[in-house]
Amino acid sequence: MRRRVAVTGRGVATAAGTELDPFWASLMAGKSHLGPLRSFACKGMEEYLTGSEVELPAEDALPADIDPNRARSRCAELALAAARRAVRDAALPADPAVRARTAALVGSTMAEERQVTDLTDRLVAQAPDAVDPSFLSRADNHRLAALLAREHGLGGPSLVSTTACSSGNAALAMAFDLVAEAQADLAVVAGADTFTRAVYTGFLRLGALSKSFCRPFDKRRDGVTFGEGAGALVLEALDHARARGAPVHAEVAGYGVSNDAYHITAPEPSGDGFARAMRQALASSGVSPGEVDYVSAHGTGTPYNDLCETKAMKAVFGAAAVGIPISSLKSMLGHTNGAASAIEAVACVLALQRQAVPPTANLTEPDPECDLDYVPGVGRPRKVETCLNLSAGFGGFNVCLVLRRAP
Amino acid sequence: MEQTLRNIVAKIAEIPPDFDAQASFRDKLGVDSVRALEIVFEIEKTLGLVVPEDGYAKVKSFDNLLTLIQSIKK
Amino acid sequence: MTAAPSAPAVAVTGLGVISPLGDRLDPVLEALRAGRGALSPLPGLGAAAAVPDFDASRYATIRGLRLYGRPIRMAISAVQLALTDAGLAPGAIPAEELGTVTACSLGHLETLLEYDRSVATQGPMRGNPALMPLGLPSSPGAAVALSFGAKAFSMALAGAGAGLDALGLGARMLSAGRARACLVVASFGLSPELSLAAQRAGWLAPDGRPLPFDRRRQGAALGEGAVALVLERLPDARARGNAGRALVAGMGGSFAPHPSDRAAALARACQGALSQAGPGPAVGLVSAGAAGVVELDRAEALGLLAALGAAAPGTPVTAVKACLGEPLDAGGLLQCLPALDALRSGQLPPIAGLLEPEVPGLGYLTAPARGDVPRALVTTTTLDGACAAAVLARIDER
Repeated sequence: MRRRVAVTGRGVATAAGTELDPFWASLMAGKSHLGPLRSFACKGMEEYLTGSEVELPAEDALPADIDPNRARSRCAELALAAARRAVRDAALPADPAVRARTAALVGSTMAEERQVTDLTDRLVAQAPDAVDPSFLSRADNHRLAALLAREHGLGGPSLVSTTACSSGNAALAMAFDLVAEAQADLAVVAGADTFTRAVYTGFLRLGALSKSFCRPFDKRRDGVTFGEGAGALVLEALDHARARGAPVHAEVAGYGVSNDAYHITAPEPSGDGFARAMRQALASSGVSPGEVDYVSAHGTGTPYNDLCETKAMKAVFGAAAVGIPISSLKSMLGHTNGAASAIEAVACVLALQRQAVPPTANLTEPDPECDLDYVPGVGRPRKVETCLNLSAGFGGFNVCLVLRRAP
Repeated sequence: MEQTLRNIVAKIAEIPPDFDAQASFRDKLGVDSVRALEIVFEIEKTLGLVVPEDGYAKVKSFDNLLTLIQSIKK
Repeated sequence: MTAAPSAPAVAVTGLGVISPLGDRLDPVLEALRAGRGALSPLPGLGAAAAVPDFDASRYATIRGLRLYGRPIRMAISAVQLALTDAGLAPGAIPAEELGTVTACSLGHLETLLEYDRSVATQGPMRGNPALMPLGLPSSPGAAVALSFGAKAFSMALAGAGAGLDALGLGARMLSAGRARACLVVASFGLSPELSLAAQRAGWLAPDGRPLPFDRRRQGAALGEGAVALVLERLPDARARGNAGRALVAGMGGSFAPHPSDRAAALARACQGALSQAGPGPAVGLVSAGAAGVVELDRAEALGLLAALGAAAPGTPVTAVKACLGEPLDAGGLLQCLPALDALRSGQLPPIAGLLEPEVPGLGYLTAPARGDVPRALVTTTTLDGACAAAVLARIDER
C-alpha cells in the first residue's frame, strides 16, 4: 500500500536569494541574475564568464574541518545550505527515532568535480603531495549525501544521483518512492552544482554556450548561461506529517522518466523523450493533461532544447498546450545543472502555495516555432493546483515530477 | 594530405576510409555534432593548423572539408 | 508496509561479469571455492586484482566504444554478457521498455583528468571536445543506456555502496511498471591515480593481502571488475521461457552519521531487507562486503550479529573481496555471484586467508562447504557511512 507524500520543507541557495520570500519576489519580477562572474575564473575564456552566483551568509560557510579549502567543496557547501533551510522549514523532529527513518538524497551534475580539477592543478604544478590522504573521500560523489546525513544525524538510505541536469528531479523521484513505500518516513533531498572548468570549457567547445546570455524560447537564443546554486525539499509521508502537525506545503503526486538513448549530448530532436516522461508522470500520478496548470520547463536556451520541449508539450497536451503557462527559471538564474530541477521544484511548491506562475525573462522576440505561453517578462497570478517540473540531462536522462496543492 | 584527412574521418566515424567524398557527413556517414568537432580537433592536432569556428559550419561533406583545409594551408 | 505481496516479484534473469578471475561464471565460482586469489603486485598499481588482457571488442560491437574509458568499456561488456545469459537478443525487449541503473562513481575520472589537464596546460580551446561529456559523473550511465538503446529510463547512483542500492532501485522501478526489463550494472576500473589515492588514504594493506574479518587484517587491496544483472518481473520472465536465477526479495539502505553507528546502521539495513522479503526461510548464506579494512569489517560483523540474532552462529558467511579485492561500486553486485550460485547449488565458498576471526559468533566459512540456501543476504558497509543490504531468494520461495 503506497503512502501519499507531502512536501514539508523548502530551501534554496540561489543568486535570487537564500530565503523563500525574496527568492519568489525576484522570480516574479522577472529579475535576471546573470552577469559577469566574480567567483569563478578560467584563463582563456574571460569574455564568456557570465552566470549567476550565490552569496551565502557567513553562518553557511562550509566548516574548515570538512574542507579547509572551501572553494573546491563549493558544491557541498551549497547543497548543505539549501538542505539546512529545508530541514528548518520542516521543523524536522530531533527525535533520533525519526532521524533514523529519514533518508538523505542529493542530485548533482558535476558533484565533486572541483576536487579533481584541484588535483589537476597540483599535478600540473608538480606539487609533491598532490594526492593527499583526504583526496579519495573528497572526490567520492556520494560525499554530498554523506555530509548532509551527517549534519542532521540522518540514518535512512543515503543516495547520490548523477544523471546530469536531471539529477535534482531524479533524487526527488527516488525519495518519493522511498517514502511512498515506507523505506523511509522522511527524506531530505537537495540538488546542487557550481561552476567547473571542465563543463564551462566543454560547453564552449561544443558551441552550446551563449555568446551573451541565455534567452529561453526567444528567437535569438544561442545557448546556455550557467549558474550555481542549490534547492532542497523535505518529503514526508502525509500521515506522518499530519500526525506531528508539520506544515504541508504541497504534495508530490508522482513522476515519469524516460531516456532518449540518442546521443551522448544532443537531445532527441522530436522531443519524444520529454513527451514520454510527461505522459508517464501524468499516468502514474492519476492526473489528466487537462488538470495541469503550470509547467516548469527545462528551458536551457539552446536552439534544440527549447524547440524539443515545445514539441513535447504539443504532443502531450495537443491544442490545449497553448493555454498552459510554461516558463524557464533558467532565464533568471542560468542553468544551475543538477540544482536546476530542485530549485524549480521549490518554485513549483511556491507557485502552488501562492497561486501564481513565475515568468521567463529575456523573452522579447518570440520564435514562431516556440509559440506557447512562456509567461514572458513578469510572473502573474493564476489558479495553480497541479504543476509539472520537467528536466532533461546530457545523455538523454528525462525526469518529470508532478506536484499538487497541499491536500 | 587527402589520405590523412580520410583516415581521420574514417577513424572517428568508424567507417571504411574509401567512403564517398560527396556523401553528407550528417545524414550518410553518421558524423554527428560531437564527432564533427572531434574530427576538427584531430585535424588541427595532426596538421598543426587552426580551423576557424565559422569555417567549419559550411562543411557538409568530405569534399567541403578538403577544400576548407586546403584553403587554410595556403 | 513495503513491497506488498500483490506487487510483482522481480527476478534476476541474466548475469554477466568481467572480473580478475574471468568472464564466465563457473570458473569464477570455482576459483572462489578454491580460495584462489586474483591479487598480485602490478606495476604502478601496487597489490591489486586486474582484469587481464581486457578487450571490450571481444564482447560488444558498439559505436563510440573507442572513446570510453576502461570502467565504461567493462560495464558495457558485462551488460552484453548478461543479456546473452538472459537469452535476450537485441530488440527482444523493445527500447521503450528497457531501463538501466548504473553504479559507477569513478568511471569518468581518468577521462576528466585527461580533459581537464589539457585545458589547464593548453587553454580552453585546446581540449578534445568529445572528451568533456565523458568526464561527467553521468557518463557511464549515459554510455550504457546509449549502447543498449534503453529508453525507459537511465538512473545513475554514486558511491562505494551504490551497487546494492542500484539493485534495489532497479527492482523498485520494475515493480512500479516503468519498464519490462532493467539492466543493473556496476563497474570499477583500476588506475594509477586511484591506487595512489587509496594508498594515501590509508585504505590499503601494507603487505597487499586483504584478510577480511581476520584479527590480523590491516587493510584492503583494490580489485577491478564489472557486474551486470538483468532484472525482470517474474511473470514476464516465465512468459518468455526464462525461469530466472533468483528473486530480489528485499532491499534496505541506511546511513551511520558517526563511525560508532556503523554496526547499528548495517543491522537496520539488514532488517529492512529481511522484513521486505517477508516471513520465510532463514538466511543460508551471507555474502559480506568485508575487504580487510579494520573498522568496516568489525562494524559489518557486529551488524550481522545484531541482525541475525540467535541464528548468527549457524549462518555461513563468505567474503569475495579476499580473492577479488575491493571494487568499490562493483562490490555489492560482485558479492551477489556466490549468493546466486548458493541458492541453486548449495555451494558455499570460503573466505580466503581467514584463520582467526576478530569478532566471533558468525559462521565464517574457512573451507568450502555445502548447505541449503533458500535465502542469501548480501551486505555493504562503506567508510563514509552508507550501508546497504539485499536479500536474494530461491524462486520457488520468497
